[in-house]
Amino acid sequence: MEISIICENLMKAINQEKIIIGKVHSVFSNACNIEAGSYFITLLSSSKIISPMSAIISAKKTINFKELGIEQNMSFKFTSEGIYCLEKDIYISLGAPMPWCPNIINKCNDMYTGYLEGNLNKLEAGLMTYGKLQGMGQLMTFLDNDKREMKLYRLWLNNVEDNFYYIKNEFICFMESVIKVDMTQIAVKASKIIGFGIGLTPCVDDFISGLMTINVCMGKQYGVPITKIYGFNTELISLSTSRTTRVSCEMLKHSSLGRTNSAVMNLIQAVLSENTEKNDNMEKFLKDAVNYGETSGTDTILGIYVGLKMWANSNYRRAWLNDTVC
Amino acid sequence: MIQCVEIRKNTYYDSVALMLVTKEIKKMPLVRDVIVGMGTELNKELAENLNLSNDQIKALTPNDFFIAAGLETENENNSADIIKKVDELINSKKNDSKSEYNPTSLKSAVKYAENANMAVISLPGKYAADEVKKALNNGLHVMLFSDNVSVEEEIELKKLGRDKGLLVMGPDCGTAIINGVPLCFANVVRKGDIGIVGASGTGTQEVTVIIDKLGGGVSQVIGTGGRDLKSEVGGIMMLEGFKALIDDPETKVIVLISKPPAREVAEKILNMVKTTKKPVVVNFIGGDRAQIEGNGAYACISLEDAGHKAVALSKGTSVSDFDGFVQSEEEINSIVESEALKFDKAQKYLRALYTGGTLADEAMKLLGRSGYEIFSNIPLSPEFKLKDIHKSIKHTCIDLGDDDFTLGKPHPMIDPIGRIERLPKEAMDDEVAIILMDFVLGFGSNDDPAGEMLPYIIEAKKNMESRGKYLSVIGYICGTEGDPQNYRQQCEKLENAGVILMPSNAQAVRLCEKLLKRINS
Repeated sequence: MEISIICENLMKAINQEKIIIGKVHSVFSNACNIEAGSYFITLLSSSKIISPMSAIISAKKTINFKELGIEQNMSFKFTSEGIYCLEKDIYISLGAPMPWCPNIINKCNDMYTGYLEGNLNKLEAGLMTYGKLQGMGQLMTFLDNDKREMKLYRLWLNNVEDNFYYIKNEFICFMESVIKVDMTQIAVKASKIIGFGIGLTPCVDDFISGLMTINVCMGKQYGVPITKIYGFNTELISLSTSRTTRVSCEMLKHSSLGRTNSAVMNLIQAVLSENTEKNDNMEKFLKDAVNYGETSGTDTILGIYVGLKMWANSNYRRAWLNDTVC
Repeated sequence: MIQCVEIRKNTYYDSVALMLVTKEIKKMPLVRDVIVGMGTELNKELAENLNLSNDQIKALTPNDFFIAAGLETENENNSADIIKKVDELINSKKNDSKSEYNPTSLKSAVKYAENANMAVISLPGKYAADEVKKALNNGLHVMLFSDNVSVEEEIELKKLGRDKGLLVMGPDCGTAIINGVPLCFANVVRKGDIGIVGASGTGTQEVTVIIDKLGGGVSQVIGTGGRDLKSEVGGIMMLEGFKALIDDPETKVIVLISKPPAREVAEKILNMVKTTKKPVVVNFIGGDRAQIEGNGAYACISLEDAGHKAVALSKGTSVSDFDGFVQSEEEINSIVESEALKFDKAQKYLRALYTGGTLADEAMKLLGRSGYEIFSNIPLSPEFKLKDIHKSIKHTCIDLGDDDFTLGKPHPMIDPIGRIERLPKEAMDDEVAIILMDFVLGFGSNDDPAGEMLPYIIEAKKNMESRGKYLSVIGYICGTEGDPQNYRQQCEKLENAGVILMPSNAQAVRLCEKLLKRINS
């Protein structure tokens, strides 16, 4: 077995620390999460997409971590030669894996927003066609009711589950703080909704992850100082990291700095740069992103979609640009 | 509320499994509420809000998994059953493992399902035509459920299909039964020797259901989409479907169903009748009887009549118009008298709230023949178009499945929310006497059409009663004993609530007609 693709940040951490030792946090068929002090590392089978602080293992047969007998609390050691599971005598060589950069901001130079309006319509149609809207999709109905100018009505669902009514008001308040770029309130408002939903990455967290990633992209496009964007994003999650799962906490931290998985990155690039009248890459990337988790992929894309809608609205954009006409 | 709580500390499950657990536990009998998830602060707050919390749940960390279910009654077995079900679902192999492959494109689906010979396509109209072309170029017949496909695209696709010897059923085709397999909205009907080509969804469903009730069966049911018989499209698929049934050795009787076609299209179709010895029953709903019979086909006065004639031809018995009631005249008169006595003097109007468009159309035509002026969102004449489709006036018949009511929303046969919201408004009108409703069963339809409407029917009747009035509710269940919704239970639910059920749409309309005549006499 060997690592075929590795996140640059993980490679950097291994090279810096020389040895990283951690324990298995959680195991699934296609993924294994390892806690190693401040690092949270994910090993993935070749059927999964690369994400921040993760590495993809290739082997003759697709890896199944459960079938390998890996369990919670087993030890893993990371060195520049390879990765060892000490209890199971498993060795994964590091060799010369392809490095992958998780930072969306590095891809922003090639972006062009001229096709954005048409592409947003396509993204919306794609969400309605392929999206699993039973997560955050349910809250879009409330958001549209409150913010008609965002024109989210096509994402309306007739039946919203009772549970979502519980956070309806807090969600709207949170969105208002996002729209106003309210540094004083955003942390408190976010803390009232982060952690809501089933799954290792609750649906609200996935949505916020998408929103923060788009803040990084679009902030750069419109010349907002990156420190301001990072400042807002990190403030957003500052009171919430203990209120959600470890996996989600890591995801939110990465997203606050514009780091995301390859499917989401490809999708954002396509929405922001491709003439999708000529190419159908966006639809392919959308399907890849939607298939991440159960509703996680869709919830993240909804965050991206709503974020893009906000940045495309000149009134909303003023809050970032301090009333500078753009 | 009684609780069942299961906590698993420091335990993680993938979200696919958790979503499945949530859905399945909710369906279990006696479960009122359920929350499944990790012990994040919000999830714990939600549990408290739902009265599902306890000290154990409050002490959870975000890395702990929990399920809390609220039960109707206290029973050890209920809790044990829930936990057993959770474990079954979590341990089931139904996840994103390699053994379950979900193709993400037509190309990969064709590779994966090598023996498939049909594609059912339901995409936003803007994207549908391209996918249909791909399917046809891969040798697949197509059923196209999508609407909002342009006429030009429809013509191009149907010509392509015709040239390749493939069916293009649609766009906007909701009903088909091919080789015994029901597609989209379709009922479970007996297999037999009656073949149908239909340009209308619920019209086709009505005919198949009547055939089944009369002991007949269907060989094939081919849909064409609602626009096929307009002059631009020229009836391409009606003709291809007709040809296919003529050539099909298992089909002995052919039924053609549509709203009145364009004249030249009707001629083309009726000319083909002469090319076959198989008897052909033609229901161009409200169409030209003389023209149909002049070409050697059997004309019909209703969808039910089409079913009757088809079965008679299949059995070799005599064919005649069916325009009466299954019940005796005495029984019908007794129903009419009994209902009429309960009305207040001011009550005189009918409000028909349909989920099936063709059934609504048939109702208006039958009532129209008796001189009633029926307002509608799909009126027979422009002067009867409702100014505000959300507000009925005088006699009104609404097709709740029309585009105006379904933009961005599911069809009312799937989700009855449109009718649920409309019924109380009608019951507030002091001049309303009769509500007429259809309940369409079968695949694709709501799991419990009668049950969904029941509380609102009861409420509407009570509302009227509280104002010293009476609301007569007449219904028709378009379904068979084989349908998944349990036909008998559906009937029982409605009859127990005082709904008068009739055995066909036409008979339900005729009963309304008799009642209106009685009220106004």
